Amino acid sequence: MAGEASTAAKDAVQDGPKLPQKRYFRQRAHVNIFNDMPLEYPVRPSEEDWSKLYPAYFRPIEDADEAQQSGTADDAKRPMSPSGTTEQIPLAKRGPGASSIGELNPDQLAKVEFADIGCGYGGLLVALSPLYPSTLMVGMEIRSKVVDYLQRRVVALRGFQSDLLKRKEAGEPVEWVDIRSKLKQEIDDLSKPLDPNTEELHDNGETERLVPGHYENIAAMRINCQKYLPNFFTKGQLSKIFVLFADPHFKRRKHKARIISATMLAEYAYVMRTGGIFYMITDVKDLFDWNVKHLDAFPLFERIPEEELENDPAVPCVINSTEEGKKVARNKGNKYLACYRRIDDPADQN
Amino acid sequence: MPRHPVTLVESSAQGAVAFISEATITVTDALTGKLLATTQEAQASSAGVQHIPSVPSASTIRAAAFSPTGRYLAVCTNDKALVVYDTATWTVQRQLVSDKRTNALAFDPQETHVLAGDKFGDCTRISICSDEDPSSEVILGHVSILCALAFTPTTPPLLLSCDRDEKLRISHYPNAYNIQAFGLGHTEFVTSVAALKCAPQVCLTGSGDGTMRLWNTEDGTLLQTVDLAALLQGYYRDGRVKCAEANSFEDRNAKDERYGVLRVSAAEGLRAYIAVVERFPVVLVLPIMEDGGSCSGKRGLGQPLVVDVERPPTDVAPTAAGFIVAYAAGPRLADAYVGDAQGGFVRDAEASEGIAQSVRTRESAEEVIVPSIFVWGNKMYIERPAGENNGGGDDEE
Repeated sequence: MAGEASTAAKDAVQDGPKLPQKRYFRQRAHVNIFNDMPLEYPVRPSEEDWSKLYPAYFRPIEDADEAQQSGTADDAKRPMSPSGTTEQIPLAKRGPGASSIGELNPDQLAKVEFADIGCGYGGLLVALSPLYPSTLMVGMEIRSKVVDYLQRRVVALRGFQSDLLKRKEAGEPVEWVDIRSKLKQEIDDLSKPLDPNTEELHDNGETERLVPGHYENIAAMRINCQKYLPNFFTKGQLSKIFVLFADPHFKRRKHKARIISATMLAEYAYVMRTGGIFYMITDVKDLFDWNVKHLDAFPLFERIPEEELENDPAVPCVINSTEEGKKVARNKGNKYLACYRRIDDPADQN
Repeated sequence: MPRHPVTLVESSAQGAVAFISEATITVTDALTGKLLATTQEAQASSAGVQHIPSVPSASTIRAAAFSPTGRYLAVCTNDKALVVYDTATWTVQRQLVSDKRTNALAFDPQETHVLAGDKFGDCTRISICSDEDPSSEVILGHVSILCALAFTPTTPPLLLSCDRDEKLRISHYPNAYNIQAFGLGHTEFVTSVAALKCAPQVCLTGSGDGTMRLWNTEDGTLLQTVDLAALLQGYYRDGRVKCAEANSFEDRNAKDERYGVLRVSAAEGLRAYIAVVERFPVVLVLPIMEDGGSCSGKRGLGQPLVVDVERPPTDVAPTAAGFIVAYAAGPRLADAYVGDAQGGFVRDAEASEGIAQSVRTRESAEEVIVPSIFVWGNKMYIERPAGENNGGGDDEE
């Protein structure tokens, strides 16, 4: 995984960044999650080396101890936020034993907060990245070729940003994208099809203008979420989980394989903090009804009324930014959205 | 003629011990080995003890559990039958057929429900009283074979469940949708879990990764790791355990030195966990460390004691002052051990003889092979020869 990513990075240096072409990374949609696969996963969350995914935010685990001792912060590698943005890139980086880092509050340490479960080709991540430029988000996907595509895509997008930053430093006129006004426009009228520019941004990411966060905050990993979620995330670590256009697994005997099942919800709730939001959208009405049935019945989630969602900047991305979402829109299909808030256990209040 | 081994031993708080071989259940007194009840009708009538109604279609029993006070015994079979007996009368209290094959059983602390963990990873909560509430509900699910279930002796209790994917899950109960913590640290399937009343906030797990691990059940932190290789490697070195022969365990990779915990059990009377390891003719006694005469203070395991027993065991169950161990191969099916004055354990000849008299399993023309836990426990891609791997199961079905 890391080897491929670094090869792509080398290519980017030699010929300039290149976006991967989706058609070479197609893979059939179904995977049996119960199969044993030689997946890589950490024994526990503290052993995951996030520096491979977010090199701007984390030191490699083997370097971390040394750096902690010498007390030098590698600021140069950190992405720059555009002026006028109040959000700051987290100051700290971590390795194992992060809790022992001098004065730092563990809450200030960089950690993944959003997870897109079954992220596919990464449309949502690329769209969300500039909206939450200092929030780390990870796309989790079980299909190896798709993960490979998304990793290359992220490396390429970061490469474009890094080139743009260099050009800007050299005095060339390089523009920043005005993400927020674009987004506001989308929120104002969700029913209108996306204008071509927005679609371009969502589909391929921005290659000609600077974006907040410079795509340093998104990454993809190959993981069987249904088996190994707690190996990657600690209790209450995530503030948003996205389940977008999931495999419907129509057959009844395959229902346990669905991303949302009565028993899986407990694990999603475990990795989510109270107040966190679970986004679910699908174009399959049967699956939607199934999901809603289980989510409604699940005591640690509470459905968010639609009017409350209007101000949520993530919602337009959830609806419009994924490949599946666009396909459904082009085919004039319906999309069914439901969002749930993680609440405290009602049983504890009795 | 060789006999079928006793594959499960369960002891109750009332001092009864159930020995299970295939579809037969034999219950004896823990101290004397005297027969109390049996599924074998002829034996029951000749000995003048209660006859236990047999499990449906005489299918092999996979798991068994006594309720906390010993009032009930639950067993489940290979053909998905689940039977709850009332141990006072040895009548059937509840009988049903489960959706999936049950792998693990545990009663809740109130003794109102029995929990059944299945090969699909789900844990179903079943009322013991069939007329009151016949419904059963799935209260939690792993995405892997569920190997064992237990409760912490805390108030409120926490439900401990462990699976083939290296995980210990610690859930609230009965609101098991609320996960308290995961115990993460094992690198292979977790076969067994136990908690002691004198150390209510910790539990011990056993695994195929060659370790037993002690966990804080409040937050899932790993407190201590017992390295079985360090304790037991001598048995490979001096030939008491042979890699190749594997002592009647059917095991493809038996050439490797490996250590798989078959069972961890809470021996309240010993203030210790007891454990057996596949292929090793030993019972491990792991005392919980005491601090100022009480267990409430500093938690941790003391120096483990390795008790040599006659043959490699299939299972172990605690008694008031020792344990009963069942063997994978004869000549005897099981032995009772008691603590001695030196702090060790010796075979209790009288009780062992009593057990030998009481427990009769079916004769077999050949030595019966007990399948290794590594056969189902290991991931297919490890066990499969190189080249057979399809690159990660991406293209299923």
